[in-house]
Amino acid sequence: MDIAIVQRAVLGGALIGASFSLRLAYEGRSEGISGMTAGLWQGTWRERVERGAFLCAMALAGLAFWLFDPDAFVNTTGRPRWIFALAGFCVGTGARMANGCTSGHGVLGIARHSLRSLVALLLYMAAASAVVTLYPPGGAL
Amino acid sequence: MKKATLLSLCAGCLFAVGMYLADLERPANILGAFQLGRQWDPRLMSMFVGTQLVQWPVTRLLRARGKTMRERPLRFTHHRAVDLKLCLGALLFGVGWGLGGICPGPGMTAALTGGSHVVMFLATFLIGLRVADRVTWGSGVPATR
Repeated sequence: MDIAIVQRAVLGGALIGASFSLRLAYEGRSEGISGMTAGLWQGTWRERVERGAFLCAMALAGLAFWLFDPDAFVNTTGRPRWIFALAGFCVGTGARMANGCTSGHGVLGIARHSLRSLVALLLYMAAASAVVTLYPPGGAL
Repeated sequence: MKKATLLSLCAGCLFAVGMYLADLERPANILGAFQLGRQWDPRLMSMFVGTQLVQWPVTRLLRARGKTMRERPLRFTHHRAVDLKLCLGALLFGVGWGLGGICPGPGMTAALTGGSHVVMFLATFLIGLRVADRVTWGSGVPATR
């Protein structure tokens, strides 16, 4: 295990925590990425603008990183496109049913000691591990 | 520009920088976190540890303060019940996560890069969000997060 990779990921995580902390401290609402995306169609116009601003800045910054380091965004799983289409539908539907995604439950929910979030995060990981075990990256379905 | 909007823009940038540093924009790195054994990828777990180093104390301080920086009440969700809807949704989410190695954070960050895997993922992700919001669920818990 490369320690530099771990350090970078911990630092990256801390910045993600800082990002949600800023919004939480200002808005007083814990909302992850799926909540913000779904919230573009819900709530007051002021809330929608804030969510839209966050998501646009995030996508533009992502684009800047892609221009400067496209390798960091490459798909090396060897999986066909329809798998990603299926994955997106499961993730979108599941996130709304569970009231949160990796960021909403895994970051914000865990930090406020929510039992629902802990259960959700453990189930996310259990299901993902089961799928990856049955269908390893680079392997055939 | 309003202060709240400026703050949201900064927070969005911070999120993308964090995601890039954590190196979780490559789906294989996320799938690797679910492969036990020698190929196990430490990035996802390290990222989670990093988020809590900041998120946990901030949440604690805010709770102790009881108000936001604008002196407004905190609006934490108060759902307590671990119900069937939560569990089924979480399992479905996990299946998708294990299939694609993408969750909403990395997906939305890569939205403008045009990679075919991201485009496919986001198109059906948005459909999934809308579909789930339109279905009336038995438990009557409103989707707020």
